[in-house]
Amino acid sequence: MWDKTMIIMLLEGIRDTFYMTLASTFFGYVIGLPMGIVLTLTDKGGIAPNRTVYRMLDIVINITRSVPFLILLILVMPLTKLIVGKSYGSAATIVPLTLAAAPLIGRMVESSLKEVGQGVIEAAVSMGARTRTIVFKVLIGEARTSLLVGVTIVLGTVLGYSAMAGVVGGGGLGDIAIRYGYYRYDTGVMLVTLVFIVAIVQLMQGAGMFAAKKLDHRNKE
Amino acid sequence: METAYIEVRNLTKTYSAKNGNVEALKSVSLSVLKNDIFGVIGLSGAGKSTLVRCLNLLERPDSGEVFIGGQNLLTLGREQLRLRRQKIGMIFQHFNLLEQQNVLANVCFPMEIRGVPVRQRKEKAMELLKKVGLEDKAGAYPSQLSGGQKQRVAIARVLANEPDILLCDEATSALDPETTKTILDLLKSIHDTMGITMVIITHEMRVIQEICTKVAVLDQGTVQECGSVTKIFNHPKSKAAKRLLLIRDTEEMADVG
Repeated sequence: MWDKTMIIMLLEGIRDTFYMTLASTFFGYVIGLPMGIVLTLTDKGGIAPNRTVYRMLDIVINITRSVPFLILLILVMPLTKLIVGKSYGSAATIVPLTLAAAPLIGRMVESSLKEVGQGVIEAAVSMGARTRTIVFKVLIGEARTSLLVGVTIVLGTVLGYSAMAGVVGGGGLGDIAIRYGYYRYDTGVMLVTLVFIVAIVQLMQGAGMFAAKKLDHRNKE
Repeated sequence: METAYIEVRNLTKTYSAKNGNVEALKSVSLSVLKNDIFGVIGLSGAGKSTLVRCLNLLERPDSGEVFIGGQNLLTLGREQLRLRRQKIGMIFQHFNLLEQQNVLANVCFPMEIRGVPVRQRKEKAMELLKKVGLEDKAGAYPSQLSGGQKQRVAIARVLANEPDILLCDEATSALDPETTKTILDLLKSIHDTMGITMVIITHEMRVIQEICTKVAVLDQGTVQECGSVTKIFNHPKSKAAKRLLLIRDTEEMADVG
């Protein structure tokens, strides 16, 4: 069972899992970070309150967040085909993964940015700062620890989703686990992939937390 | 007669709360002359914070006018207001420093907003830190400083834009009496050397006594009494002023005892 092809397959699985997770998280932030910022600014008590914009985004996020990932995966297949050219494999999985990650990221970013004290924001307003400066320097700058913890959580979640995509031939370690463990009753291979998945999550978690701690200056002695 | 540098006319501001509306300001009018150190005193809930926050429009009044140097702030557009605010400094009870940035970066921040080149920023920031006696703390983070030191950083920061007005919203209320005294001395020397018009909001009579030239006593959203500090301290007319003096005397007695 542990021949060369198997090892190559597992290595490729690890590579694909990393690829899917990192790419989807990245694209997820491309969409989700602005969403979180807009939510923070437009909510009441924000620096540009706008009920309509806030409510609209809020509803969109709530709806997309309630669609189970497996259903979303199937639902967006036509879109996936349009963008990637096919609906299976790891590149294709990035599309639904990004769409699932974005609203989650929007919420996480919103909650991180809202941790920033009203006082510092007001100080910046009183200095005549532009909204752009307040967003990047005050909101994102001050919330960076919390934002990084958020990235870590998102990576773990997206990796979990990517494994689910294995059901429809999504590629990566999840795909291998389902093909061997479920269709061929090869528990050994499934367990090995599982060990890798856990190790990858641990690695990301550790790296994220380390970076978050390193960048935090709030409780320096 | 001298013309007022800061003038508010008939300011009203009402907040809607769960159990009815709260009238924070009821037709408040005040004028502050250039170079005044103008105190506004009142117990909590008197509306003094709302008043000072109306002077740079952190809070928009429901009605009334706010003139600074003859210019009605309420008629300014967004961008004009933003630029005007750069010359109206404000310091706060809780300092409001960027916790993730070191002292130097905090002092540089207002200059960064104005687009001052990095080198000049740093030079000026170091100069200001020297002025407030913290040049050796440039690389420290706010969490490593005491309350008094944090307020000094905030003062250095506020001076970075060379403001013509400084608003102090309970700037010494989170500090112990001794530190309060050193911060007030610093503010006084800044006033004397740089000629900044100051508005000082406080609930402590001793702050007024220490530093202010004029004072307005605020109670329940209206100005009860306004005039020179000596006059109001020696001959308080309003109930609110008498009460505040009484509080000061009891505190002093407690300090002695």
